[in-house]
Amino acid sequence: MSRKMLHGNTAKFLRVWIPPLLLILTGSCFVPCFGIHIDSVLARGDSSVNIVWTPTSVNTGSDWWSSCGSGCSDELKKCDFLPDRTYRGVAYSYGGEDPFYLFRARLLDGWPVGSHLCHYSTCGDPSSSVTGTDCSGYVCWVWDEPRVSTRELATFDRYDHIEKNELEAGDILVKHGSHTVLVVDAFDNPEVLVWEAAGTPVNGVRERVINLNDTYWDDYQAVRNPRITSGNVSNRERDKIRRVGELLAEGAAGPAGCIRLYDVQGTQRAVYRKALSNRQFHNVMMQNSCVGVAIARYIDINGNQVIIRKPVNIK
Amino acid sequence: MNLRYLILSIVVSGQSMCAQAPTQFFSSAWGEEFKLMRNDSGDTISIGGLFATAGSLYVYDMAEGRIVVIDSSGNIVTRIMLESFGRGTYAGDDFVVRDDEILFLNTVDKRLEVYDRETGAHTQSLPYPRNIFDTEQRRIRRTITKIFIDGNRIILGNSYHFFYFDEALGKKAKNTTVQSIEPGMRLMSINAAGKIGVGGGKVIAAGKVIGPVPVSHFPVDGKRLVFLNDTVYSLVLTADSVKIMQVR
Repeated sequence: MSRKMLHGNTAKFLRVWIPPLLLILTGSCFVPCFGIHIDSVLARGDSSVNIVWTPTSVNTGSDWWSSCGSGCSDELKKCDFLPDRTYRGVAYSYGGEDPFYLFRARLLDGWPVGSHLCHYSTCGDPSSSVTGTDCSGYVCWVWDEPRVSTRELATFDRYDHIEKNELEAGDILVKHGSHTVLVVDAFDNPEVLVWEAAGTPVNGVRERVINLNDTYWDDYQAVRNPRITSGNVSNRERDKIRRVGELLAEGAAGPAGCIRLYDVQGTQRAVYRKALSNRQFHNVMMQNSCVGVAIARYIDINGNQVIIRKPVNIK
Repeated sequence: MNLRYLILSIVVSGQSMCAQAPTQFFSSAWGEEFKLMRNDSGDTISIGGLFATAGSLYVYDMAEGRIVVIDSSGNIVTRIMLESFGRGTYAGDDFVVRDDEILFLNTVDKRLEVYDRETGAHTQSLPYPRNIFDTEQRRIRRTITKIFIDGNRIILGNSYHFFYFDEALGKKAKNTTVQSIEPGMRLMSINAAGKIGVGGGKVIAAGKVIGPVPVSHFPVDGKRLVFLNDTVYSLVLTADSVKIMQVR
C-alpha cells in the first residue's frame, strides 16, 4: 500500500484529520494537528544521526552516574563517553528525547551526557538533568509527534500496520515495549537502511543496514504514520526544513557557517552561507562558496547534511 | 534391472543429500564461550562478525568487546580484549585483520578504528570518505558498511560497490575506480580466494554456486560468510547457540 494510495483513502483521511480538527475547535490539541512531509522527517532524522560533537570533562566528569547508579554495574557508574574524543550522533539516554540542536546546546551548557535504564530506575526521568535520546524519543522527534513509548508506537490505532515488504522511508519497525528503528531506504528489502537510537554498546543515534531475513526481526511490527505526506513540498514544510538546516549550521559553525542541502538521491540542491553581520542564512547556490579553511572544515569534519527529497529553491 | 537402477538411484540421491548437509565447524551454546546481552533499548547484542586469515578464524564478540581466535580445527586459541573508545564494547561493525593490526569499520562515527592485534590496545582512529558512492541513486547503496583486505590494501564498500582506500590520504586510492557488483548479487566478502556473494537465495563464491544462504536468528552487522582455506564458512546465530558451519 503506497503512501499515495493512502492519500486517496477518504476513510483514512477522516480518521486521521477529523480528531485533531475537533480538538482544535474545542481549544486543545493533544496530537500534532498537521501532517509532516517525508523530506522534513528525513531532515530531522539525519540531523540527529550526523551531528558531530566532542564532550568535555565537564560533560563526562559529573558524579551524576555514580549518584544515580546504585543499581548499575561498575562501568555504568561513570559516563560512557571519553572527554575530547569526537563522536557522531546524539548520545543515547534512556528516557531522553533531545533533538540534535537541544543536545548540542545542553552539551555547551555542561550537561552530563548519556544514561541507562539503571539510572532511570534510581533517579527517574533524566530528561531535565542529562542530555541524549532513547529510541522512541528519537522516532517521536523525527515524526514530530508527542513523546510516547514503543508500546504506544506499536499499538496506537492512529498508525497503520503494514507488511514488511511494503516498507518505505519514514516508516518504523517497532517491538512492543522494546525497541524501534526508523526506515530510511527499503529499496533493497530485505536489506533495509535504518536510523536508530541504539543503547549499549553503541550508545547513540546511528545509521545501520539490517537484514529482515534474520528471524530476530520477525518480532518487530512495520508501522506507518499516515500523517507523513509526500509530493510537493509546501511553503510551511519548506520553512521547517530550512529551519532544521539553520539550526544544524548555527550549532556548530560559529560566526560564519555554511551548510549544503542534499536531496535523497544525493544531489546537492542548495548551499546556505551564514552571514557574518547577522544570523540570517542566504541560499548562495554556488558550490564553491564553501571552499576555504573555516567553512570547508565545517562541512568536512562535521559532515552535517539535510536531506530533501524534492528540489527546493529557498530564497 | 529396473529395480536395481531404482535402488542405486535412491542410494546415490541419499548420499548426495547427505553431502549437501552443512558441516559444523564450531558450535557453542549461548552462555558458554559467548553470551547474549540485552541492552536498555531492548536490542540483543551478540556476535558482530567474522574474519578469516590462513588457518585462523576471528570472531568479534560485541557483547564482551573482544576478538576470539579459532584455529582451523575449531579450537579457541586466543581471546583479545579490545580497548574501549567510549562506546562500551562496540569497536565497529565489520573488521579485518592485517599483520599485527585489527581494523574496525566504525560506521557510527564514520571512522576506521585500529587496534593492536596482540594487546587489543586502541592505537589509531582514522576518518574515511563518505561520498564515494554519491552517484548511486539509493541511499542504502551509498553508505559504507563493509571492510575487506586485499593483500595489505584496505577495501571499503557495501553490498553493491567497493573501492580501494588510501589510509595515508584518507581518500579513495589514486588511479583506482569504484567497482560494482553484478545486478542481483550482494557482496559479502572479498579476499585472495575471491569474492563471496549472495544472489537468488544462494551463496556464490569465486563464481561458483556453493549452497543455500544460511538463515541466522540474531543480526550480524559484519561479515557472516568468509573463506577459510578456500572453503566458505558461515556464521549462524540461532536462538540457542553460535554456529560456524561450512556452506555446501
